[in-house]
Amino acid sequence: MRNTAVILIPALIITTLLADKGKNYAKENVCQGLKDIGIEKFKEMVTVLYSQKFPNGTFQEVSCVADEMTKLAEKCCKDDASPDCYDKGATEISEKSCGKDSPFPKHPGIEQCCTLQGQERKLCLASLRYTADELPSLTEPTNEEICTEYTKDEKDYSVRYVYEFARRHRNIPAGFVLNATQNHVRMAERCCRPDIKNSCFLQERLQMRSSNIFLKFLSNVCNNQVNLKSFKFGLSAYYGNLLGLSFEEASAMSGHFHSGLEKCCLKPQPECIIEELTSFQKVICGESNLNAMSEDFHKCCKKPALDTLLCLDDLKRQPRQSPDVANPVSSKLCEEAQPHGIDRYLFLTGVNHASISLPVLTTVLDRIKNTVTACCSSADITTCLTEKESKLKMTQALLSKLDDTCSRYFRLDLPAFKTRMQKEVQGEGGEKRTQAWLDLAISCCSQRSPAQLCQKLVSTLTYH
Amino acid sequence: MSGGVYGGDEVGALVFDMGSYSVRAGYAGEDCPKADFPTVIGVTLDREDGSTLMETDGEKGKQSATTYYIDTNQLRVPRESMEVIEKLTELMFEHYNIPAFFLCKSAVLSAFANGRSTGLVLDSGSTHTTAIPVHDGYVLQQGIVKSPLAGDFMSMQCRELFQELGVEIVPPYVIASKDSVREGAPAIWKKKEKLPQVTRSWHNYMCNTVIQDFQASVLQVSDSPYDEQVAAQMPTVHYELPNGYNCDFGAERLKIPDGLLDPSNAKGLSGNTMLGVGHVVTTSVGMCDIDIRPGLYGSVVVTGGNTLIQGFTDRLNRELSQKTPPSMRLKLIANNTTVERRFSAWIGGSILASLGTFQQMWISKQEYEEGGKQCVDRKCP
Repeated sequence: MRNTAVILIPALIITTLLADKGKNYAKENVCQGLKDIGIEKFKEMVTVLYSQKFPNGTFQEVSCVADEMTKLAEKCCKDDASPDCYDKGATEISEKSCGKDSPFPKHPGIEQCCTLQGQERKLCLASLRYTADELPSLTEPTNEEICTEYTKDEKDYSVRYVYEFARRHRNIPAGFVLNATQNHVRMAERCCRPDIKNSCFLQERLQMRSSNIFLKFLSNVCNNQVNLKSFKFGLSAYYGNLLGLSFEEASAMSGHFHSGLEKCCLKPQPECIIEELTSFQKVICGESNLNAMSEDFHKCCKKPALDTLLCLDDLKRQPRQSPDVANPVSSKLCEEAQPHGIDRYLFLTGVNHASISLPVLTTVLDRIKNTVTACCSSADITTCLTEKESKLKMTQALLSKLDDTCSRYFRLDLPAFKTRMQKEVQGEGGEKRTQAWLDLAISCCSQRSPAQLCQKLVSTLTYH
Repeated sequence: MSGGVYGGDEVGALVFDMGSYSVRAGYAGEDCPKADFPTVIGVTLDREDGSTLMETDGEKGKQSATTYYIDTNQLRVPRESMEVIEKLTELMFEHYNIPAFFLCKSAVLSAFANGRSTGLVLDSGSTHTTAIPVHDGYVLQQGIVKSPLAGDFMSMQCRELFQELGVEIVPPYVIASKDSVREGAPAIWKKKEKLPQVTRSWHNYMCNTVIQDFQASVLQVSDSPYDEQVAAQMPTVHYELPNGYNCDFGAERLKIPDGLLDPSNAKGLSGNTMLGVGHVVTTSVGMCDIDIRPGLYGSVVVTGGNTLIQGFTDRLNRELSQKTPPSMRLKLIANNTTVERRFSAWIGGSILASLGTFQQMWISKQEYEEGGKQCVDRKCP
């Protein structure tokens, strides 16, 4: 039942805006969905979708749009509703979004969309997606705090939790978000009355464990996918290092994973991503790989499909010396005959660094890619590359320094690490640069670093 | 599934928590352990004159050494010592013939005792102060940070204090009688006649108990870094040693435990290489993904006998708030009663073992027979 709703409710938002491409069909599906899961869950689902789309919106703004959408469905799905009720209602809502005092979540792109009219406007609005910085994680309140808030107003607590949770998991299928929030609210429901029971909370939390862990993994991987431009290249180097793969093998693997994520992260249905991840696990654990792999890798592959990926994610990367070296940049990189010239260069540059997180690695590789690609499309490739050679060398040196820094970060205690950084970073603007390095290490050396923040911090670094 | 074999409510479990200072044991579902005894092996030695063992002065738990106590640290070994964990599993099933078994890390159980599956467990016991990040019921190995500054370190400092005062630590078993003396005056006491030979280790053990009693009664952690002038105005506490020596202790009450939080001022430590408790916590959290740090700082579970020193949690709270970003919500979970703080891992085990879902978690004898001792690696996180 819930699956039907998950498919249909986005239809409410997107497909109904393609109203003239089968308005009756869309409306009927939505109305069926509403009938199936009921008004409460329907509203929750819409809240999830809008919180994900507009994480910067306030609770009031998101509630407001969710309310209106729900009311629209409720009103126009009645048996005695007029045939054009739905279309009219949807148009009204889009008009409201363009109004001066719109009660709906704001987005810098709205203004531009509103210069368009009718159908185009609706499509434009539907495609808006906020790219704000990641929000800090939710703190876990104590059991007592949960119960105090929950018992004050159950419905309000539920919706607020959905909003806060969804806006922090904006790039994963909405179905997972809904599942997680429903689990949490159910925990409060069961464990707060008549008395607060720690053992009840513990039991519920133990049951939610694997889905929570999977959710975090998925959130991280989809965030990377959505936010990092050269994620595919970062992934290649990452797999090359983790599994000791050649360029060809790593490229194929990262291509597979990347296309799966691209297809499914932003789809509301969980089934898509689950299918992709399951098929990816088969690829990564496929025969050709298994023989050369470590014991830990084998242990991971013996687990159920989705657990394998989590397990692999936890494997320690070892420093590696690739036998091939990234050749000094030459115009060969740009040649038509070698379509993978640049890709291979990026792979060889990144593959030996075992201590950098994916977002950091990807950001630096992206910079290198841009530099080289720009030259490859210039009139005089050789001159361009010669000019950029020192810049490329510096970027590669940066990569090595980042690798060393992160490796040191995990070896030393925090106070000792800070002292070391202060000693090393000297000269002009020393204090600012030290702070930039510290900020980067503290936030971005961990395996699952936040994509957008780390992109930003890497850029800050290069300007110091 | 083992759940089908054992009929639910009738199954009881025994819960053991083995530490370096004491062992806690009891029944699942209860609030506190039935048994709490020191982790010490007492062994009788043959004596030349064939005399019987001497009785100690009636303190419970320290009976004559024909009773063997278990000294095992297996549950606290790092992950790498899988052989030890597997050996324990083997011992349990083969030698003791138990029907089902489950091992869980103490830190995880301390978090469970508070109904949570995520938190930073700060365990300060006798030998070590350790910060262990627990997330969704699993220990994050890369974040474990250990410091040797703990109960034993403070005992050493107390001993040095007494040495400076020129006071001898005399355990009660030696003393026949004592006279009351003025404050600060040398003790006047009579030694028991016909004291049998005792091993050096036992004598040291008894001296340690004197020091530990002093530690527990007198020491206090100040709520701000140690300052001579502030300490001088500290209210004094009167303490009397078993041999009659008594004194009012003032500044030392604050100075000694301050070493735990700020080792740079502590005696006997070369340089700043030791981490104070605040840094142990922040380093540990810093080793974990940035996403989970708010969850860790939001649940700092303080456990271990050493943390019961008056003022410890307040000072730790202050230290951490200074070291974390202002927006970070910090919450220390420190159970107020002595019982709960010392026994938090045991209590967690008791709660876990009494849950309905526990039956799916344990390793049954059948599973052991089919899967071998490696199944403990698979099933016990």
